[in-house]
Amino acid sequence: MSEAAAAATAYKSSWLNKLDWFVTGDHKKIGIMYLWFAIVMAIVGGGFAGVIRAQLTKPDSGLVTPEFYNQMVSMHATLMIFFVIIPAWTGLGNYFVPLLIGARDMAFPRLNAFAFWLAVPATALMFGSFFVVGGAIQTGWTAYPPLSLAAFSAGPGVDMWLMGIIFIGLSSILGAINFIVTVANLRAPGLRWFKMPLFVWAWFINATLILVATPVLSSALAMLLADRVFGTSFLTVAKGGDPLLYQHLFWFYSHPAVYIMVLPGFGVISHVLASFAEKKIFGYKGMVFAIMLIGIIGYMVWAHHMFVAGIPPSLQIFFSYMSMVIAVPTGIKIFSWLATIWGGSIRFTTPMKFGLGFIFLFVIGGMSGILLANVPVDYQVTDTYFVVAHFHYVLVGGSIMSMFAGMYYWFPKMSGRFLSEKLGTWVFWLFFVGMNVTFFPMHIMGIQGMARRVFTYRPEFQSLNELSSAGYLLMLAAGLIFVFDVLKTAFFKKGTLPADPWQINHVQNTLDWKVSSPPPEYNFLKIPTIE
Amino acid sequence: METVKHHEEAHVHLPPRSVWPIVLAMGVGLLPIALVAFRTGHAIVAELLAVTGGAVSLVSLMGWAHSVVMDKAEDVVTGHLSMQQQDLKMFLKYFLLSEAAIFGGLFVHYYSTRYHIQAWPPAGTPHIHTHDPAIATLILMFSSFTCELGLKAFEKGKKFHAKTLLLVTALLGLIFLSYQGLEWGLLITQYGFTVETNIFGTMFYMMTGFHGLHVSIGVIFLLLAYGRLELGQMNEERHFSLIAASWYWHFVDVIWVLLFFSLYLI
Repeated sequence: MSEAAAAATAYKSSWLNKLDWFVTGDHKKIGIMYLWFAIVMAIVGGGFAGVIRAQLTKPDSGLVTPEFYNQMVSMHATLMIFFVIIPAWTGLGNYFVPLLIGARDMAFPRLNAFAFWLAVPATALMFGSFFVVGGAIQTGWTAYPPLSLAAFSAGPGVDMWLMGIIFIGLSSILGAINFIVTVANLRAPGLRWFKMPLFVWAWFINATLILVATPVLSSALAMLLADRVFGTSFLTVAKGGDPLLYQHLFWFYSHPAVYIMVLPGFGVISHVLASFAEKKIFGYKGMVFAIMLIGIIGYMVWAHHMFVAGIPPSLQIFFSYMSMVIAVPTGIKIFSWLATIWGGSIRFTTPMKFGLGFIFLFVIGGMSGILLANVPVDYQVTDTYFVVAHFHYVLVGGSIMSMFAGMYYWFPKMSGRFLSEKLGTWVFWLFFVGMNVTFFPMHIMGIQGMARRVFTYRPEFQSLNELSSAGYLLMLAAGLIFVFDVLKTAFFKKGTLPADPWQINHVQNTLDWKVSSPPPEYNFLKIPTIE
Repeated sequence: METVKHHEEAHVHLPPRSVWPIVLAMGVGLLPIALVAFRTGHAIVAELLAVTGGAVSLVSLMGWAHSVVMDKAEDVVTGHLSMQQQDLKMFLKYFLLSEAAIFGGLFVHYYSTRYHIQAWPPAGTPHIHTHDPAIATLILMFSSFTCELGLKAFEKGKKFHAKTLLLVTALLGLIFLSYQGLEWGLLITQYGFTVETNIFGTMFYMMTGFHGLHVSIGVIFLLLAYGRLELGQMNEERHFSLIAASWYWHFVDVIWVLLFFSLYLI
């Protein structure tokens, strides 16, 4: 059957065709919608960060009220985690997991669409909460009781936040099941488990993490909601409830969530480094087992977020050790990446720059993480800017850098056009320098005792804060150039590219570079067989 | 049949376009907004939103289910089917795993609280009788048995037996629910024991209530499977809705045994 004939028989004509994006089950379209969604949310969440940095330029700038500052801090975190990083990975995963395994779509296309559209009411709840009495949530994204209980956070803002997160969580869970079934059942003939590309492995492990961890978060949030709305006493001390347990359940999700936010990035980086070093990935099996180990140990470290919350010393020791142990598989990955580029003929394309930048920044974030895993060190710097510096090195330096790498790497495949290499170089250097200028001083502020999540600080921290705010401007510039370039290339450039625009597939031999750019709606006219 | 896979099809099978996912998401999305309206004192708006949201969700669920049935009827020809069944079974397994994780959160909370509170049950808790709940437990366990027999009967081609056993299972589920309703009514009206009384009240009502919700959904699943059997939409190869209803029912049953043990016995 010819390509044209296949395309013609693919859809029966229907009025639904006119609604296209709203009714599609195509994993590529849904993936692109996730990515646009994440970009829009990143602009808003980045804007919130701008408000935070502007307020902190002076010790008591009075730019915003303390209440509004609290809302900004809480919503910045919420948006960046649940509405930017996780959806962006879901988007790239949606687009590329079926392509990489040689499938025509995800296992459940309609469920896939449903999971995406659930993000809309969740977003409405989040932004709606700014307009209700009392405004949006002010407790920080952790929403610890008793602060988040009705006695201290009376308005409906917290309720809306809770329901919004439960919705986006449901979306994640349904997406995760879809990924698991897709990878397990829809691989092309001959694509055995240990032949799967690392991005697919990373997403598969990621999906298992989401599947087991997210429902536990939902159950904690539902308890909090019930305490607020129905007067139950799950977390209310006066009636025998236990607020500490909320922290356990919360971090039982939210620590694995850190890996949920970075594992797909590990996958992307493996593809990018190998491609532009013109070598096969070093230690493929070791990489796979390292991802698995991170997935498993990731479940056993959550209480390192709670060292000062009053948990028994025996637990502190256990979680401290486990948090250090998880550095081992992470180290395996770092060294395998280094060995991959070692002796390769490196092409410094934009994705490669982001890939190398990722390694540098992620190692810094990992090292401060090992410091924080020490109970006494943690006592000293808990709730200071040291912690803020640490997790921004992991999330910005790790997740966002690898996401940039992935976007630049796969954009030609998704759109049929390259993003500008020239602008890409600007984006990289502005972002890389800006990120260090913004977050590195926070290590020092933190060790010197500047408390996080507070709208003001002691005057001696001013110069470091000014530096940090200046760094924000560099990152902002990088972000704006990136969005400009994406808009321009996506909407104002024409043309398509050959199947392998980077000319890398003679080494990589992955299926994403064997279909046209962009791929046809059915991906593969004939399902490929892997030798 | 079992070895046929998606990708070996002769023609390109593309994902179906459907309006129901987006409509369902919006319908479900109205429900939390209704709760917010209720909390801010706009009772009428809240009712309106809740009714609209509920209706839209229900209609789109039915529409979705209908389109799935229609799809499948076509797929029988293309051989798409056996893989779909395998995918669906896998989906169900992982879905139940995530459900188990939600209940897991509740159980962890329950046992951790019990472990930390010296006097259990805490002050203000009336004596909770175990006699009637024990009978309800036996009824539910027996219903799991009838459900399994129904599935087996269907697989052996005894449609009448299967239908009868499904109805019996659903009926036993309803009896279980009425036992629970009576118990709740008694505790609330006679002893004034509510979710607000103490932590045990919270745990007791929320855990049995959340489980009761699952039993209700299970009964609906069973009745849907019965309806499809009645309409002759299932055969030996494709009866996923029956399998789904029975797995879900066993899951709900197992959770209840754990709940009964935790809340009533120890």
